[in-house]
Amino acid sequence: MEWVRSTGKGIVHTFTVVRQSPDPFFKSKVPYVVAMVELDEGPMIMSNIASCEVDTVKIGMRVSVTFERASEDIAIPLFVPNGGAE
Amino acid sequence: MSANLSGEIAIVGAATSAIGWETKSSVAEIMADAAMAALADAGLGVRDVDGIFAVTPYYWMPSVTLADQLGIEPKVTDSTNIGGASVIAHVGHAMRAITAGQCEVAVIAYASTQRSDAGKLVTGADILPYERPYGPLFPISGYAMVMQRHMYEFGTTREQLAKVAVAASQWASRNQDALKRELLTVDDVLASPLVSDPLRRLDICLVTNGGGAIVVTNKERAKKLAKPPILVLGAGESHSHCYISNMRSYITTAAVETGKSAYEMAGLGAKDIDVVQIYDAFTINVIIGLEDLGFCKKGEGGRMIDRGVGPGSKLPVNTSGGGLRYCHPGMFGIFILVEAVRQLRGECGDRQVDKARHALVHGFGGVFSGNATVILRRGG
Repeated sequence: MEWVRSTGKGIVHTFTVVRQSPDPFFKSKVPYVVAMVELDEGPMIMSNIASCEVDTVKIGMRVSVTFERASEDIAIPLFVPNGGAE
Repeated sequence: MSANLSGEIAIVGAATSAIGWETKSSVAEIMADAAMAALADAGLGVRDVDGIFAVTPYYWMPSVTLADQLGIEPKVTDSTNIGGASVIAHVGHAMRAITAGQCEVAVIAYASTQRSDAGKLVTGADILPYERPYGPLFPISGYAMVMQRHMYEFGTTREQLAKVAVAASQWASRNQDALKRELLTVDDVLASPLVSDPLRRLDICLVTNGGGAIVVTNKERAKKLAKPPILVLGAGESHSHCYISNMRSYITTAAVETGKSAYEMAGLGAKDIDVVQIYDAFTINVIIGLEDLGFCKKGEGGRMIDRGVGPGSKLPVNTSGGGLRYCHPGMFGIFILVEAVRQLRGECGDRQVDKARHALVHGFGGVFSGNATVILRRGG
């Protein structure tokens, strides 16, 4: 096992659109996309695909990381579409 | 080279308890009730039991809780939890313990009152900190992502997946104990609300109460009991990941390996199986299971569903109506074991599979994480 620096770019390997949630926080966010993103360096990471209509997300779509600041100490990595599959 | 344990133990008792929407009993009481009923089914009593295998999300030490409830001090105790496949794995564990002479009569049991308590899945599952911020529904979104990838890679259609629920409804309509007995159409499934795309409400199992138990013993003692022995010919267990983020591929599971282990031990292949029980928490499970267990090639599961898995089909699957339509108290493994036993004994009435000799039972646990397979045959 070793640390490898990622460029934060990858493709949507698979995904789901969450339409309902028992959790009050996530209930306020539905519908949202949960995806497994395959980074260009190889590893798979779970994230949300943000800043797009949920019905436009497709397997194979290229995405890049963005960080949503949750607090002073915590930033959550999210992914946004690059603009079309390559 | 390990000793071949094929056919050395048999299932001699099987029972369910408190399957329904409401109950006033505790989980321990339902587990014990199922165990006593399974023992009575075998013509045995609680004093005969020297091995206890149990699982449930309700207790810290399920086998200890069950033994306490039954008032016995066992020689072998096992609360192994690999999710909904646990009790199927316990059959293999009991096989090893009994053939090693460590115990002679073992009870394997499960129960949950999740419907009465929460109205949703009660689980002890922990959520990976690297998944939690993204809000996947556990375990639904994990299965949804496998379904999505399977549809993408193999062209598996929504209609094919809906047909899994339709076939389950046909079986359930013939099962008096099933909690949902009305017939479904493909249109019904496709009109049900999306929960986590592409999974819709009717692709997802029920949430009910209930418990079940089986009794196993060595093949010699099995011959002297009340019901025809159901021999355990093969058993396999494994897990490939815990969290969905770590799944090795989003189209295949460790059922490939557990199926292979079970077939090798049994000296049989998929072509020899007359009736199949696959833990159907979701419609996609049946397609993935049929592929990984060798009933068709990878990617052809959808077309296998087109050919039929319902009543009258060449390969009857989930003859009780499954978790989709019969009942689903959380970890469904015990109920598919009980159904396989009843099919092989010929006790299934309107849903009986003609000339059922070999049954395969496969459990999925977690998010396609824990896997266990057993192959059973009617003795004699």
